[in-house]
Amino acid sequence: MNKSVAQKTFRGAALLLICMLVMIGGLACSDNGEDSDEISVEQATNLLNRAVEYATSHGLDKLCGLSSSSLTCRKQWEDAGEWDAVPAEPPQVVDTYLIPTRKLEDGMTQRGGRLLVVSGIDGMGRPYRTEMLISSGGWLHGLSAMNVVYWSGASIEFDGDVSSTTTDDSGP
Amino acid sequence: MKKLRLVFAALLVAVLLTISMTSVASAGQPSKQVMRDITSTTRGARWAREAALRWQQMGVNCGSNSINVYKLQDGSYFAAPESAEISMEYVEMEDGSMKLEPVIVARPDSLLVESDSRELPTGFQTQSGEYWNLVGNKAFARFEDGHGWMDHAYKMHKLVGETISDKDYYQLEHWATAKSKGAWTLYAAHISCQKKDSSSTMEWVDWDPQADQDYGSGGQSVTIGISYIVEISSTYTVRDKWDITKYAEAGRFKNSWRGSAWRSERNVAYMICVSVPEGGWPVWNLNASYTTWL
Repeated sequence: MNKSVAQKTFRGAALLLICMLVMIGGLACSDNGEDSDEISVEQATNLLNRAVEYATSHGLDKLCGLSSSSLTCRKQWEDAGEWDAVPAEPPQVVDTYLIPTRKLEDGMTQRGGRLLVVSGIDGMGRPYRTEMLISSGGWLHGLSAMNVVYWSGASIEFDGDVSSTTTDDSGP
Repeated sequence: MKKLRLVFAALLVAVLLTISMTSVASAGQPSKQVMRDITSTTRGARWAREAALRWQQMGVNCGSNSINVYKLQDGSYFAAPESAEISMEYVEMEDGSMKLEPVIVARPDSLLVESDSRELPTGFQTQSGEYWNLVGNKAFARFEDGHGWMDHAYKMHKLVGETISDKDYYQLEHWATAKSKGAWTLYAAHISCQKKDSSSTMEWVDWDPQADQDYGSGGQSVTIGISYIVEISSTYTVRDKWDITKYAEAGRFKNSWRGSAWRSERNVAYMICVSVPEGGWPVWNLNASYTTWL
């Protein structure tokens, strides 16, 4: 009888422990970027400077380590012309502003952060203007950037519901 | 006409030599060069396309499929028509030094009249100078919940230089990266496009992927592309399955990544090409979503 009670108690405790671990894990890793709304220009440019350093030293792993998405970073790097296109000069920050994190109609959250608009000439002589968004990945991950390949020429769309959106309708 | 050909031939050889010398000079590296054929690689294909475009601008018509690209030991590149005879010879550099360099010693007669070998629909004509011009390059801000996130983006190109009088051609590449959070597992990631009501009328031209594909759990480098008049392509690292749906409705396409990924990024992408009436502008609704389970 006592053995059965002990077994039940043990199972219950184990189940509770597992549930707590799952909850803690979920909370720790489910940051929705609320901290992103307070990123300073200095914090953002520090990340940009590291990106420039890694790009000019051809450190792809390090460069993409700054990205909010490693796969996207590698694709942008390939599309932009790989190392042949790395700008010889650091980019110029031509504009910066905060994008607030916001709730979307479908229940999702759109991550905000500090936007840097950078421009320059890439390694193939082509002018670029890129929007880089620096946001917080939570206390476990620190700051990361969207469009960390700063010579990619990609802009970022924030308006409307970004999960259900449109291509540019401004015409040719 | 024959004179013109000879002038073009001389120009081409001069350009090839200049390109080779310039790149080697800037690299300033070893005197002995060893060529490695990289034509079939992604980088090789890109260099071939760029060389074709450069030559077209100089009036020399040579399809990118007919160009071989070589990587030299010092990291520079050498592009030449596939039927050209190449020899390694000592060449005097700008600083007076002699270096062993690849040199075209025989020009293929077909080079100057060569056009893209792809079969075109009746009534279409090819002309030198066609290329895909970037007209859109946009990422959308990340959307996420407590279980995962997704980034999606698109690029759009317009075919420039084609001779078809009553149509314009546009390429759309739409891709996404998704990942689960915490204890959640990513099971599906979908992206799709559909013509917006306000868009110009669309007609199907091409699309890729053309069929569902299982890439396995190890991951593969997958190139998707459009081969209409001028090739345009992009490469992704893909795992698990891509499940495509191509609709009869022009411009409507969907690709779904399906698998099981715990806190590991997954790519999903597609590329389509449509025509619109000349002067028109295509506009697509783009959708992206993901599914996670515990």
